[in-house]
Amino acid sequence: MKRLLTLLCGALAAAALFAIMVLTTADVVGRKFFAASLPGSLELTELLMVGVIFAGLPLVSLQGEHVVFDTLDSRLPPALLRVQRAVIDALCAAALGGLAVLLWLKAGQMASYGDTTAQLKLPVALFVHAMALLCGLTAAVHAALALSPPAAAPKPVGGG
Amino acid sequence: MTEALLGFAAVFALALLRVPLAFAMGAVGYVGLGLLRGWGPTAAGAAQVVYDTGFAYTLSVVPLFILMGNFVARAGLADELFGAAFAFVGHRRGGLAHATVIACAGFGAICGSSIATAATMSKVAYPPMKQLGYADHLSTGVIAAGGTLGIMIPPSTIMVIYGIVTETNIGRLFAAGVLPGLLCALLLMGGVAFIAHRDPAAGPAAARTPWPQRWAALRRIWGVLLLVAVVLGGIYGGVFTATEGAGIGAAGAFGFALARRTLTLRTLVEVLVESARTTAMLFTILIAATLFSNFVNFTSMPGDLKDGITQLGLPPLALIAAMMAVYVLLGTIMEELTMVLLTLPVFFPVVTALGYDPVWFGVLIVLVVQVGLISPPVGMNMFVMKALLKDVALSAIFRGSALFCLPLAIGLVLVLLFPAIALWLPGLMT
Repeated sequence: MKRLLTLLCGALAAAALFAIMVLTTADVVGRKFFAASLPGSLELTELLMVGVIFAGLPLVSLQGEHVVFDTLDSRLPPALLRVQRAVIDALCAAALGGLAVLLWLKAGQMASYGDTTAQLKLPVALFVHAMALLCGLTAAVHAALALSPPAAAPKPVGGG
Repeated sequence: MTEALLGFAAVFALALLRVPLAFAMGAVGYVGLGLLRGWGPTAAGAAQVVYDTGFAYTLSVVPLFILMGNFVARAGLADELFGAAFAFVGHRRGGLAHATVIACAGFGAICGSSIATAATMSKVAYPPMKQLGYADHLSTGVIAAGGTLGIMIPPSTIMVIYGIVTETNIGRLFAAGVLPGLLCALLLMGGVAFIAHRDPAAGPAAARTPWPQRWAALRRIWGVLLLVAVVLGGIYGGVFTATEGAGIGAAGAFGFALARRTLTLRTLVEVLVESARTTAMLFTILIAATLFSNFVNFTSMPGDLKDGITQLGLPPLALIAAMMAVYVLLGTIMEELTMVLLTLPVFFPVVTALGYDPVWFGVLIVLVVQVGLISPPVGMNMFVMKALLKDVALSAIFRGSALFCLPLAIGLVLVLLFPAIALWLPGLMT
């Protein structure tokens, strides 16, 4: 399960990011040297960003890479730490689950309006549905972590 | 005002209980706004925030710059930067530490992350310093502090995020970071010279490199210099936007990694996934911070604070200095990006109301974040180094980092007193 998730989300996020890089470069090169930009490259980048962020999210949660204030960890007994982790993962699962529902509802609304992107006429709702699903998947990751908290402390990663 | 203060208190309490900071901010923002404004509009608003942040073209600048830094790290360009710097200053007292600062500055011009710069340099610069008998506090301190140049010398993840949140021009922010970045590098080298002067055994000199080898070392880094010139020159010169520059930079760095045969399909995917994970982590914080600031902006706090401060009649510069003092203090115990995102909805309106240039304030923010990243007990650069250099005592890393807080703090004061250091270069932009 874990390996499949890592593989699928990793492949999706990696492909999306690589595509953004290629698109942006091709767009600039085309515009500067051939006076022709790629039609819809802006829109495609936006849609691909959804892939990078939301396919990356389950991986971040799975590897415990969210920024946490863990300075007190060394002062707490390991048993208490495990309980604390489980409770927090359950809360994260609930929050992300709620968000997934909100996004799903928004996607349904957009689908009923028939919203499409301006240039390529792609249905936006499809991508918002994907956002909701990946968000729900991340909630599931947290739920699984809550049920079986990992023994080793994850390494810290920060935003600076 | 009370609601907002309760909100801040709740975020801190949750964070202390080990709730991930993004979830703490997001949840408090959501519940707070729900209580003030009603749950229906809050729910719709939250979905809209996630949607807007997900589908934002300009935000693709974040993963692209991260990707560029990761490709460059993988291509081994950091070793060559360090080699070239070493060839020129290695024979001086504390020379390897000087070379570390120079290499960090160079690496900072391709990498927008302080942590990545410190992590890369730990692998490149620590082993030779250890071999030559450098004291651990000098070697680790200079790497941790030099790493922070990664966010001052453009590109810079934190400047990009500041630019997005405050709607400040990212190209101008980047230009504004150049001189303060070089100033910080000089100040850090001053710190190295001071430590090596007081305790010569802490940083012995290495053998002198003859000139032919110096030129050879310099020739090896032309690729890095070209990449920097194209990306940053293009952004400053208005040839392309920051987002486009990031895309070109990532593609160029990809080209380098390919040309040096450091990439297989497997490592390519690794680099891409690693960059995507960092992006997802940052966007979680970004979305949560937006939810939280929507709540804070709905309370009377930003307005009250602005009125209260104007009534106090303090000199504006004293106010900015007070804000910086708050940041430096908070930075010792908090993760820095979160600290900035948490406080911007309150501080930023005051700064613009006082008539200050948001670009200058952005540079000041980066400076306090630099100090925060290496001020014990909580600073990401120190933790990353501890994770990578398992044999070094955390106390040595703390001691060395604390020593190098001073040069960076001097840089902060200088930019505070002489805004031209930051604003001169963007002033030249068209």
